[in-house]
Amino acid sequence: MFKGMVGSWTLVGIGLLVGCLVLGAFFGEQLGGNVLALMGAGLAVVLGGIGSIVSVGVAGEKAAGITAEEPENFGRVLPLQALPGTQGIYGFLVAFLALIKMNAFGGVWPLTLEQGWQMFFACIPAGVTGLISALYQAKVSLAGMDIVAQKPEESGKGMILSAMVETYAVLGLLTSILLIMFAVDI
Amino acid sequence: MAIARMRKVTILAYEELEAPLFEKLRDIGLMHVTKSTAAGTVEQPEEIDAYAETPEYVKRLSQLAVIKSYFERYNTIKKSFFDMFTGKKPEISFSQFKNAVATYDIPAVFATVQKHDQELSRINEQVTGLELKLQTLEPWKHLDIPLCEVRQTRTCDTCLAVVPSAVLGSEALSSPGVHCKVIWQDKGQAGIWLAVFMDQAHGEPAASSLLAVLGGTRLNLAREVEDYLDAGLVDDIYHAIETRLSDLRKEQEAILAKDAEMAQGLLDILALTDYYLDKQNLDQVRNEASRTRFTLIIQGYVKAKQIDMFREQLSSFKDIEIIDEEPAEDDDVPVYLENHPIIRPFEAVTVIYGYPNYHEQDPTPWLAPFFWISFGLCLGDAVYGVMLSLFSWWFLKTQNLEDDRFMRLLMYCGYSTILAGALTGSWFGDFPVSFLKGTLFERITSSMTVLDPINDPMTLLLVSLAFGIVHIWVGIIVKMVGTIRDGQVADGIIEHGSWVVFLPGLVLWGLSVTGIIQSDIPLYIMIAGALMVIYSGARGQKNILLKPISGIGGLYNIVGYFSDVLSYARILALMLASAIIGVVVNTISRLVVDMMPGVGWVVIPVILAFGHLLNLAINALGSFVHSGRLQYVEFFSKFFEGGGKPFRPLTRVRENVSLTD
Repeated sequence: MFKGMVGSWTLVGIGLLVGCLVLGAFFGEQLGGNVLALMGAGLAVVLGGIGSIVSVGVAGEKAAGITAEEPENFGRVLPLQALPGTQGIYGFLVAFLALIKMNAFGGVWPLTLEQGWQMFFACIPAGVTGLISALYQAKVSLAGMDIVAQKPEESGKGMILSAMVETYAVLGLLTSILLIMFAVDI
Repeated sequence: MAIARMRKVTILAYEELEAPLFEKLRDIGLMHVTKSTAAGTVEQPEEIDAYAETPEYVKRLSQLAVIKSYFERYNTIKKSFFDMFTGKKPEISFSQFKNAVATYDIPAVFATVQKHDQELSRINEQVTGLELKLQTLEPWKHLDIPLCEVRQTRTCDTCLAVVPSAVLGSEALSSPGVHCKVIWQDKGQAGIWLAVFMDQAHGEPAASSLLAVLGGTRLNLAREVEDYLDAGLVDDIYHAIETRLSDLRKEQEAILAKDAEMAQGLLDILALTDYYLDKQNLDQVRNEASRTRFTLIIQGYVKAKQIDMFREQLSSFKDIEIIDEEPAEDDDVPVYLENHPIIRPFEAVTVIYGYPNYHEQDPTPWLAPFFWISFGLCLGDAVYGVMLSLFSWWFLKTQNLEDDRFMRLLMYCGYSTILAGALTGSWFGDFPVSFLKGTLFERITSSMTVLDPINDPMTLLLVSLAFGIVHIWVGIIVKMVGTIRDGQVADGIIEHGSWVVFLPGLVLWGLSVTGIIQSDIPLYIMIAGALMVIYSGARGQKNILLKPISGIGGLYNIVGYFSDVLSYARILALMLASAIIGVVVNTISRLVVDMMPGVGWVVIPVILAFGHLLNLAINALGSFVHSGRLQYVEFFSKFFEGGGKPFRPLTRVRENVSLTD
């Protein structure tokens, strides 16, 4: 069931991204740089958020099932559920950095169109890698819960397998952070 | 020695000693029993199966499982929130355990449980049926004719029926020969008592045809409550049913009360389950032994350190022979990790990946410092470190864990987090700067800061990558040492030693090119290393023409090392993540003060506590798994073979309870 969801949620995310791109491409002049930058920041949160919401939700369902059978495994399935939740936080982190860079908390600086686009694209790596990696990480986490169900003492291995997928969200986050801090010319 | 030395033990004994010998082995808990493969023995599993009845424990265990699930409806053994994480078992005293084994009558309890279960479901069924009847009778309570009188006679058809309220005043109901009395009216429907004189010409009940015209339905209430018709009026029947219901409920309550009382013995049931599981386990282990016609051969492993104690414990058996020898090269020896107390917690990291095999080194001492540092760097906040180590310290103090390695590991990692946090100026994010500006605390913390990850991530990136280079380099050295120790000196020096020289040579050369080091020596080291790598690549190639190609091909491995090193960039990313989220939490709480003047200060502690706890929890998890990954994927791949089986001596099964004295 979840298999189909991965594809459709990825499409939803990419659709949002393309929508924002089209909006910016055609109405960039009217919208102005600040709106473009905010769209980027918003996308980082929303894309990472979608990935984490769906993933933590699906993983939570299975975790609850396993806990119902064997309550003592709660401590083992909880980290597996939490793992794909970090992408949403990464997205939020990037958005917050973008806001700080725009001086959002001390009177927003007006951005040119070019600066707006820069900020927009700086936010994208974390958003897209977060979305897709969270969904696929959830699949590994779900499989990891099977490990817990059958061999509870081996649950650490499931966590490591799941964390392998997160690597790319971490790299996306790192890229976005560096881009916002150093490459965006504000 | 980090992997405990083992002795391969073979015990020869007369067959009649089997039961007491295995019980003794279980009680002393020193021997890991393996499948016995002694020569000259006869395989006789079929003979064993033929005369063996189903052992008692199989039946008992299935009965206990039924009793347990039944009792758990009434009585659950209370577990604290933390027990869900520690898997702590309920405690039972040894005397209670012995008492339970001696006196608990499992078949009787099982029979009672089954009987009660059946009775309860029977009562429930009846109660549901009666309640349904009450519901049906409820509106008809005011009917003043005994229900048994509502029936068809030769001349008159009387019945109860439900009709739409709209037809009540209609001619059909007031026509001659028809008598109608409204008993109830509700939601556009009416319940009526209807008496119609039989039309002798037609054989069918007169009331039915009239109802068909009116759009009503005939009710046969009498059939619904057949058993209670003697009571007479509907109201009386209603009360009779109510009385019966309350009787049933009393019966149910009596059973439940008895069950609740019995369920107090749940702990005994758990203990007994362990008792029979132990019997089952012992029986299975006994099958591992092989037999000749009169003797029994048990094989297994005992820690070399404990072999004397082992012999002494078994000295009460006069007619047995114990042989202990050094395990052979191809024996699958179980592995017990034995490290210095400071290193021991890090075994938790190794064990997640898997046990090393008996013939290699334990990677724990090697990974310990790297795991410690990388966890600290990833989490990188002094106050989080304090919280983490205090929490794990408190946890260790209060929870009395069977295996405390993981919590100790967290405590140690808390220390490295404090260190990393102090060096990077992260105390609850930027708490000192944003809330305690100008205070002594702020001056102290900022004086300790060496590197600010948020403003200078490039330096930290270099630190992360340098950490990675050292980590991988050490991995190759471990491999080299291991190979040399195995006697393949040339292989060790040429194949792995070449990289041990080449990698630092390359890095130092890079530094000298950028002008950080003013020397030519790195260039020579690099070239020497490269030549060694080329030579080791060419050495393996038999074809003389292909030798140069394989040699240069050997250098290509540098790509693999390069991507390994890049993987350490995650340290920077995770450190930035926890540091910046900390800052975000502080910023948000400051914004709240601005937005809600006066009241804001009250909300601040809540926001700070919630935000920082969340950040700590999520990033501690992230730091742990990613530090672990760096060990498993980047470090272990350089030298670790793994595939060892853990040393599990034969002991009593303690799956459900833990014994106290």
